[in-house]
Amino acid sequence: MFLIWHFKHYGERIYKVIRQRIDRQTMSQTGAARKTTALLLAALVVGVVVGYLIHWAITPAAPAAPPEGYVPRSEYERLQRELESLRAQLAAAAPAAPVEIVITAWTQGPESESMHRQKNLEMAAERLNQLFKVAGVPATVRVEGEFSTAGWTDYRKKLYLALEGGTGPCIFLTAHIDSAFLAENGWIIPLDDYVKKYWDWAYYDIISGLWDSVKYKGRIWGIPQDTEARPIYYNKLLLKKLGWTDEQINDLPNKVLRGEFTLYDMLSVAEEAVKKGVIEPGYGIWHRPNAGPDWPIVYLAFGGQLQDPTTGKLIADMRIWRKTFEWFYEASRVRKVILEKITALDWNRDIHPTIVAGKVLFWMGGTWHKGQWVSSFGLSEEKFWEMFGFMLYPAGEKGGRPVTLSQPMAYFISKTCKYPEVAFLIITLATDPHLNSLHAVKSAHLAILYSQLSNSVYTQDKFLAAAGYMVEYAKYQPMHPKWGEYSTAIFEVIRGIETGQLTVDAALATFRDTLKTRLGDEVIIRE
Amino acid sequence: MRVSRELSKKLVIAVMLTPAVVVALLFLAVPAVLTVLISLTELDYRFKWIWCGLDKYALLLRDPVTRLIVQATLIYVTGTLAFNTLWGLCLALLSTHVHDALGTFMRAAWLLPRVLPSVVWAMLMMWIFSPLETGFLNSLIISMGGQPVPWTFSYYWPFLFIVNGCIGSSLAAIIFSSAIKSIPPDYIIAAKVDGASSFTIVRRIILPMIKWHIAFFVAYNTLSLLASFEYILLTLNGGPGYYTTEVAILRAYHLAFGQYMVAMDFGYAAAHVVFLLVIGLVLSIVYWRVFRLRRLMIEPKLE
Repeated sequence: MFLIWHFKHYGERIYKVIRQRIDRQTMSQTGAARKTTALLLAALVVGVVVGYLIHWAITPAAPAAPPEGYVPRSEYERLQRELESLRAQLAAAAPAAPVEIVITAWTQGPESESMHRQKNLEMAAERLNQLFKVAGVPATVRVEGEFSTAGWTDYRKKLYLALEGGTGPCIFLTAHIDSAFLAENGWIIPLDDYVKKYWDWAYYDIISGLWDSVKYKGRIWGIPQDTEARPIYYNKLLLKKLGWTDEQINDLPNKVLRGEFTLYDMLSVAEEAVKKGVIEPGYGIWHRPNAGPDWPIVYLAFGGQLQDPTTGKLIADMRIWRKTFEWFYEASRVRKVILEKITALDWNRDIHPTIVAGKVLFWMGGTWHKGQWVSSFGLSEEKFWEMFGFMLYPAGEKGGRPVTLSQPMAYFISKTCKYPEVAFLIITLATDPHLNSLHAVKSAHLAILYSQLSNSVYTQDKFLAAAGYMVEYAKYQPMHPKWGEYSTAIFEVIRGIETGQLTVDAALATFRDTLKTRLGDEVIIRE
Repeated sequence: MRVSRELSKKLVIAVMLTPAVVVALLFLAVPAVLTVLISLTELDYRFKWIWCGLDKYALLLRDPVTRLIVQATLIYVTGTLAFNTLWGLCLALLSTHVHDALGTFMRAAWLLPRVLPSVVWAMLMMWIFSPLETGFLNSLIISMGGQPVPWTFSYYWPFLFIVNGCIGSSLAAIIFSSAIKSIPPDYIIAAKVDGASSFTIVRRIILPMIKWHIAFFVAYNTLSLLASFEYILLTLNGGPGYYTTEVAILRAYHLAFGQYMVAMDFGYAAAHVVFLLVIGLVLSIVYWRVFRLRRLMIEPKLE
């Protein structure tokens, strides 16, 4: 009825308008336009007010400021005195034309807590400048560039295209597994000679296992910057509600180490928690929502192997993949402890806030998440220890070995760098127990230097000390240019299982087909 | 004398057309040819042009994912197209049948999603339709005592139709409403005098008179939807589940730039794009014939 009335009204109006003079028509149009403008303005004002109210209602409280001042004042004063005496000696030296060397550097988080990846390079350049200044060398070194908090895919894309276009930075940071890719493309220079030359400066001190992570085809391509472990965090408060004693809770990591607590035991505990109403269905075990390094860990926990050490080819052991997919199927579809929609969630909007709120029993995370929770998600240090414990990924079956995965970050020097040795010196000076401990503590990453293990800044951090043992159980992802496609396929298939689209058999068939068609003879498929 | 006039006329036309032809060649033909060439190579993270013939097309046929991608593309294009056209038509009819000021306001308000930066729009929609309890709609439902609905998880296609449709339908609404306004009022008045109902007027007068506009919009929108993926990328990114909303062009983007560790596979991605290019060409011809769009272009017999 309303519509018909309006239609009539409209027809009559047009009729009238035609009958009447054109000036009347233009007048009514300007009147309409004015009204529209007024309506739009009113809507804008209302919109701004509503928007402000929503903002006011949902803004979380600002996190407390981080503590500052790790370096004792006496250290600075001593340096200052030395400096002044040296400067007095060199004041007479004749000045020469000053030179400025600019070293571009790109580093990546994405978590803002890892900003020392960039800052340490800048501080290293400052140290170098200090030496020049004191010695009267008329040169300065400046580190230019940025610390990126974009996602890894965006960062890599930008970096690779810049390197291919010849406009890449001199120094850059990326994950160790990219060495294969970077070296194959000839974008980076091998660093063996420099490492040998400056061995006594810093490199004797690097934890020896880390060198393997940056070696490809027998050469060293990067300098390790940090490392981590990927533990499973468990919520102590929820376990207590489930009837566990403090002793049982604190002994869980040891039970995992002894191989007495398996991945299936973890499923049973989570299932029990759901049944007893301690947690909501689907909140038993959570994992990352997107593609990433963590996906092969469960396969490794079932005893899987990813790379053939002799040929360097990738391996897909289908019996182990079946066990892995069965575990995910059991967890998500049968026992309902993994949320079926978990891969539709967002890291910062959904995942971290829910875990910090204490709603999830087991979280397959990484050591740096503790740093993120404390710095950016309003979790206090005390509350962290009260709420969370952490353990290795349990073995898949009784008698297996617990496992975790490390993905060290490394600095690389690009082929287009004009001053590779200056760049290397900056990295060398940044590879310093104090500077690296500042990074490790702030971002909850693990040490790369033996001397950090006794560094006062590093050892004060209870978390790093407690998580340190995990490195011994850590495996690396295979260094192979096609690993990215393999890993993407794992994620896509598990996502299909969890959402109920693929059964275990279908998942296995699809996975095999995808690997065969996309990787060809780069992958050895074992049945 | 006569010949030279003919010639000069043709020359003038040629000069007038040159800029358009140059632009078309430079920015349409050259990239298209390059894409076809890339699809015949193994161009990947090594940035080397290794010719491999039709290998990538064979891979496209063998790949178990291709079937899912074709299915997703079909659903996405037809669904969004239907939403855009029908909702645009609805908006156009409503906004031309109410008071002028209100009608203009309606159309202006519906332009908002279009002028909003796409990232902001996508974030907003993801928050509104979040499958968790913290989402806007779900917190409303819970505050009213209801059960939360896993919006983007269970109703991913309707969600994508809405996200895309709110942007596409504003264009349709503008085209259709200006078309409706250009209908000579005599027809409508005459129909009213004869006692036609509003519905009959819409069906018998308005729709037939704007059918060219609808045909144009459908043809244009189909082709642009085939190549549009940014809102899927920004919201569901091909999920939830195993390639459920991964349309062909998004798959091409993912293969080229979006895999874990950026395992860039430009050759295979280009094969997807060529596949789309062919479909686009075929569809253009089909639309041209079915909608008889040629009649739109020929000079009127009577002025």
